[in-house]
Amino acid sequence: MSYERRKQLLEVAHTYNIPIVEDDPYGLVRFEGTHIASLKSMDPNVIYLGTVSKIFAPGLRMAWCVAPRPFIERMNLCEQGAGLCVSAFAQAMCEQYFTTVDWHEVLHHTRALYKRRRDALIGALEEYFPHEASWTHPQGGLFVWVTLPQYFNTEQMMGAALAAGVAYVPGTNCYPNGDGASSMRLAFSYESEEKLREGVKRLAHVIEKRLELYRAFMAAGALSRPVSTQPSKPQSSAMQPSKAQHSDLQRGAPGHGDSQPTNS
Amino acid sequence: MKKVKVAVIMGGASFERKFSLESGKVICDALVQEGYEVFALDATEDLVSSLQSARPDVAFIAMHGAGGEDGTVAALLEFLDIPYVGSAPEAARVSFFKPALPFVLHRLPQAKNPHILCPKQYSLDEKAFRTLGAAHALSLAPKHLGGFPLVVKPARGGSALGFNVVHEADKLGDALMDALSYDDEVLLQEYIEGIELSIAVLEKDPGKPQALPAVEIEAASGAYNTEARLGHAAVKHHCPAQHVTRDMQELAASAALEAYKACGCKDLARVDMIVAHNNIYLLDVKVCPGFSKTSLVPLAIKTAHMSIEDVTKELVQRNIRTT
Repeated sequence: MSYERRKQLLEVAHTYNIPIVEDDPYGLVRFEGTHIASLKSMDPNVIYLGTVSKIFAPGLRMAWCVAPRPFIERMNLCEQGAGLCVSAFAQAMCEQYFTTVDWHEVLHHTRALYKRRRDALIGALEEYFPHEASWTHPQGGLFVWVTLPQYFNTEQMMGAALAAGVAYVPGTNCYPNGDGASSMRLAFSYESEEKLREGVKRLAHVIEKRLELYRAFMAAGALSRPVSTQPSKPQSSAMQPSKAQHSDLQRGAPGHGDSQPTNS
Repeated sequence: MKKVKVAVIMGGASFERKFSLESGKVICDALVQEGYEVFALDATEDLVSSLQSARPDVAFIAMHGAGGEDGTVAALLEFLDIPYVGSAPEAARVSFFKPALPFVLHRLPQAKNPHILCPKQYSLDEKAFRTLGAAHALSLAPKHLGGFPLVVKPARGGSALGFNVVHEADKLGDALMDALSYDDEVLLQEYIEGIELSIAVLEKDPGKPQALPAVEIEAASGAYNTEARLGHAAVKHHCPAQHVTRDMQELAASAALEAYKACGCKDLARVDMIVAHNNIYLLDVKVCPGFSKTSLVPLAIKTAHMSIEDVTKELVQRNIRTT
């Protein structure tokens, strides 16, 4: 979210007296572009959430909250009611890590690694994905958000993708109302650049096969979903380089960190 | 006295992995209860080394879907010379491929009963749609299959994954896309409105399979889909069946035995069918049926005044080599 939009958001929230929760797991995992001030730094009333999951170890389930004292007091009460307290062992590990390890330096290397992996993933998307697909170009975080033609159902494709040895998060999992059926979230944080390329290549093959099926069923009037206005392309061009589009970004794709449109 | 070692093989990489893990746990617990030394083995790339290290006296195949029910693991166990509970690879392959059931059933000389049928069906490979223009002939489906609704499902696999009852022509593509998410071949089948029965066939004594009491499935939505199978949707199981006459229950039992024999099954299988118009319509033979809390075979076992412990023990004992 740009600085200008953040300001607008705060103004609207202030006008209608709406509390803002700034869930910021990826703020420290920006590997490109310029730092954008947090909402919390712009308004002390914002409830800010941070986590060690993305900068140290997700398995510890450790996080922090910066918020006005009355809120913290109530939250503390709820937390004690829900689980007494966070594991003392996990807290001790965090304390040791952040006091004895040069974690800024570790994070510096991690960001560089994520950037290389993002580049590998997007490079592979450009090389292998059909031109009907569009995707984000994140400047941080761990994910690329890919959108396929409107009639495509990524949840249905999951089985074929798993059979090909590739997993992703279907877009519907990222929306509360069932939207996002034609989108999917691809993670680039864990796998090597080589495996990311291989994964995208396999996924592209699955997508291309399914696109052919969709086209066949649409042409026969056997699909209830809306027919795409985007032109299809011959099967033989599936592996040709494709340009990313950014319609999804303009709409705002959920849960993938800071992004900006690719230069298409 | 040395304990008999049993390897329960479960999981694997099929779409039905989670169901298999549930079944495997129930079988493991039962065998432990009976005093066996049990190894729960996930069917991963380490399976062979795990089997060679465990050196079981017998293996129990508790896998659902591809890898297990298609005979892959049974064939591997034969190659490793490990006796196992479950059907032979050839029987598993035939049973796993749903379009083959009418074919194998009617090749049996005893399959002359005009009241034991299979629904009319067509199977089509995805290549037929992608490369041969089969989608343009889809309007033939309701004509050949008695109109809408009709059933679309993958040609292989279970747990109702990719199963859809289609009521309108413009939903056929969606259903086919769903089915083709689980297999490259899809079955278009006549919809038989009737009472769904599931009958477990148990072969405690070699060559003498017996049909257990039928489980009648009454799904509120009308379809015994994945949600219903997982207990997430309203479904009632009646065992013995409540809305089927005694004569039809006897016919259903003989149909189950016939299907079991036709496919060449061994030890245990579950045969799914519909009772309608005084006929039995056979749908599916599962050589590795579910054993979880919401599965049908444990219910049939209980109704037959047996326990899962008894059944698993008997199946293990009959497969242990004595020499």
